[in-house]
Amino acid sequence: MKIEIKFRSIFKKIKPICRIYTKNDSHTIEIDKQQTFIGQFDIAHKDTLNIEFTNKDGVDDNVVHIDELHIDEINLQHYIYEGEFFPEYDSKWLEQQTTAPPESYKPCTELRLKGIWKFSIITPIWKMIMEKWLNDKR
Amino acid sequence: MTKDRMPKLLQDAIEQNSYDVDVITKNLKLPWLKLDLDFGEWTEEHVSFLQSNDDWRKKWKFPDSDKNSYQVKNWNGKLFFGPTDFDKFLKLSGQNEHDHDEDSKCRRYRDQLDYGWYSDNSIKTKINKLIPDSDLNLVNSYILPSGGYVFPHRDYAIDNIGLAKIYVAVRWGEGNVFGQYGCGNIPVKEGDVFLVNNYTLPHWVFNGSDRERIVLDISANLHSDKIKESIFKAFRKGFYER
Repeated sequence: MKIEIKFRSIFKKIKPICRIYTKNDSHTIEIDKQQTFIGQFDIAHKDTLNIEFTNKDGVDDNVVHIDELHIDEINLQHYIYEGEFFPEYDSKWLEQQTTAPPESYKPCTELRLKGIWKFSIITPIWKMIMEKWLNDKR
Repeated sequence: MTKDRMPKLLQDAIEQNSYDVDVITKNLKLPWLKLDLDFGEWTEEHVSFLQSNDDWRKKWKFPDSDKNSYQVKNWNGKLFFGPTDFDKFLKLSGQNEHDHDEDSKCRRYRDQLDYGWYSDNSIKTKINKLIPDSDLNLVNSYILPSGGYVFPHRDYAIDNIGLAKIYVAVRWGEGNVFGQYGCGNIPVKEGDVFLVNNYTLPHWVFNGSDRERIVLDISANLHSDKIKESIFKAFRKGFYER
């Protein structure tokens, strides 16, 4: 199944590197200032799209933005905000904190730390979106 | 206990249970009911009244008012009956009911604001034969040219209603779709009148025919005599007749 992600990045010299993976497939890419990634993935009925920011550099302060997500050629629109970012805090920095920082951030499409952004998937995608509408309690 | 030794509650339920418009339209959440309301023939004169060069989304001040945003292609409409001071109505409903659809907003303010026809025309005459002005909340057309669509979405209502929209297929060529998630497509043919629930299920429309699709949408008091009678008939047909 095709996954298309529109990324944006901020960096001085160190281009962000992300590993994009599901249960059965993985791709690793460098992210330019503006970049569209397109990859084929073997997606299980219940799966998770993971975007792992692997080379955060504190000096360069490189940042990854996830601007758009299309799975199976369907724009996930605002559902992108259901993605959750699990940062991997620097252990020395963590020890110095008097209050523990959050384990995860949601909504979050801006990866400023090393860590993994996770987005749950149920196929078929069109039905996943219909079920979200169906169960919307507004 | 009654004289027959039947508890009174049970006796009343058995003897007095009948059809209830509110239960059928609000509680059951049926996706649609085909009504037998007869508005008569739709001539080219009627059709020309229903067509519009207005921009429906701008008229209602939708946040994304572009009629060709990626979720909507060439979908348009025209107002015939509704709040007479439309700007005041929009201001009020925008402050309080921003999540609700046009029908719901018009139901909400029916007792607070003046409502009426925006012009005197043959559509008014046709509708008033079956529904008096006092039972109308909103009358408008929906226009969808060949190839036009509205993405899957759900509408929201203030009154937890299900079946609400009287949907008259004035022009409906082969290849048109009104899909309701999990229920297939509403089996609409040109000239049909349906009571549609656009609040419970995600739904979408597409005009796959080669001509313009024209729908008359009526939001009305469903207790109005002829409407109520038609709802009961449709219910009996769907759930009682073999």
